[in-house]
Amino acid sequence: MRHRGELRYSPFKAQIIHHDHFTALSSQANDDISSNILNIQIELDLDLYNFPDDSELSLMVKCGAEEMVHVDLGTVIHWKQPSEVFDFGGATSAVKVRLSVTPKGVTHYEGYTDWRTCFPGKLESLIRPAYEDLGQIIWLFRINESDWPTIVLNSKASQTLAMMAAHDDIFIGQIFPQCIYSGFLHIAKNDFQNINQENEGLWENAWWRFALECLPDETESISSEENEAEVDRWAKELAVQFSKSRKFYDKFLKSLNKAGN
Amino acid sequence: MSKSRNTKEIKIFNKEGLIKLRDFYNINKKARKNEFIIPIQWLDDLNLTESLQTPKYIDLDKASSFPNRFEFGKYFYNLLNQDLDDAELNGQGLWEWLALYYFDSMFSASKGWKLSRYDNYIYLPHKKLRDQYNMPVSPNWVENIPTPHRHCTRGPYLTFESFGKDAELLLNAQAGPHVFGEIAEQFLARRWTKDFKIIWKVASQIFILPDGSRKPGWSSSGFGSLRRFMPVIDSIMYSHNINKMKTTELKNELGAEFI
Repeated sequence: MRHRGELRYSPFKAQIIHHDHFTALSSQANDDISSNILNIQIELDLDLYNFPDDSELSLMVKCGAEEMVHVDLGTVIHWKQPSEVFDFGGATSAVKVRLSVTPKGVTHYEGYTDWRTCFPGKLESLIRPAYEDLGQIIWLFRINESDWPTIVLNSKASQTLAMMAAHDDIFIGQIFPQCIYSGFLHIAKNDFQNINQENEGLWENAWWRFALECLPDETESISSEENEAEVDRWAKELAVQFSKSRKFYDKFLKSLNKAGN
Repeated sequence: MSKSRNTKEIKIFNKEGLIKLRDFYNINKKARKNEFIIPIQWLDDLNLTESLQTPKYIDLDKASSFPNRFEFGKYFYNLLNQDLDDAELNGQGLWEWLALYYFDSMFSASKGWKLSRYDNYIYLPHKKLRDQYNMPVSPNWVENIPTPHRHCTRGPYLTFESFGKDAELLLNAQAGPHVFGEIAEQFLARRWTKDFKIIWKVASQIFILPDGSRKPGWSSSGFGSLRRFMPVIDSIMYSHNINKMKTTELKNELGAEFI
């Protein structure tokens, strides 16, 4: 499938699968979210490419130059999610994936994607965890242009806090909405830098895509908005949307009532 | 194997033994062999060593030394792989004991040789594994990329496990078993190649001639060399599913330079 402005040689005339049609999300496979042992889920939409039903799908997963794993996913018509657990413990590079399609009985590809960063699923797609000795502080939110927004948890209770940050909605609900709000204000304050498609892989682009999903109309127009109150309202609404389905407030209130009883 | 007279029990170094070893290797780094005394007495020091969970013995009639790292890896893989427990295989202790036991006969040479950095003799995986297995020895240098593959005894063991006879090409440096070798340094770091066994099967067919010698120019950086082999494999992997290829198909794709 050719996209506007795209002219590219492809060996054996293999179709280059566009990134709109292939996404990979990772999630921690165990309770230790610092372990880098991952499950990977993929989302595919290959209808436009007309690959034969019995062509074989495979996924290459790599972490840095040292670690790479090949996974068979089945056929175009009957594919399955990777069942493997990917242990990249010790490696600190980004996890990247590449989908390929091989015709039955042939060894060269008839379709493939570029190597794509595998975005951490759930909360981690926006905010990543880190651990430091914070004394009596439980957590800090840190935004740095060159790195992913980070929730820094106190390393003295790393396991407990990691579990809470991953699973405890009362804990999550008191932290992450504020982080979302602050992160989008930061993007606005920096003149919406790094949000475009060519900045894929940078955190601002990932956050922007989240914003486009949550509030498509408001987000499309916000970068030209000069009224600071409107920008603040947009950032707040994104935090509201983030919290809506998780019912953070309701759960918090319920926990208070339960404690009171 | 039952214990007989001409055998040697394999031991593992405990924490104290490993610290002493680290200090020995560290202090003597870059020293020549005649400038230090190899502390072979530590091999049997009851304060520094322990037995394996399943005791194992080296048959000294067969294995008092080895001509190369491949033969070393093959022998110890066959001897140990059924019985090592997780901590013995993945921790520090066993591999360091074997390194010291064969240090004089294999991993050091008299002429012009200098003692290497201690990751050649003490297994140093990344920090997470060191913590997991409670390893007492860490690098005393800035660790950008861990070098667990470099260990002189564990490296050959695992390379033989992964590649079988095709490991010979990777393990045996031309200079001798005391040298890790640039080929091993370059390619064993790419741990993923173990999942693509066809790569080293084909490499062995190309670079090891029927008489056991190497293809002329194999260690250069020019056309047809092993150094160029991997980038060409990378380019083939861009367009081909090499897991589905037969060795003849991969050799054809590699092109005339690798005939």
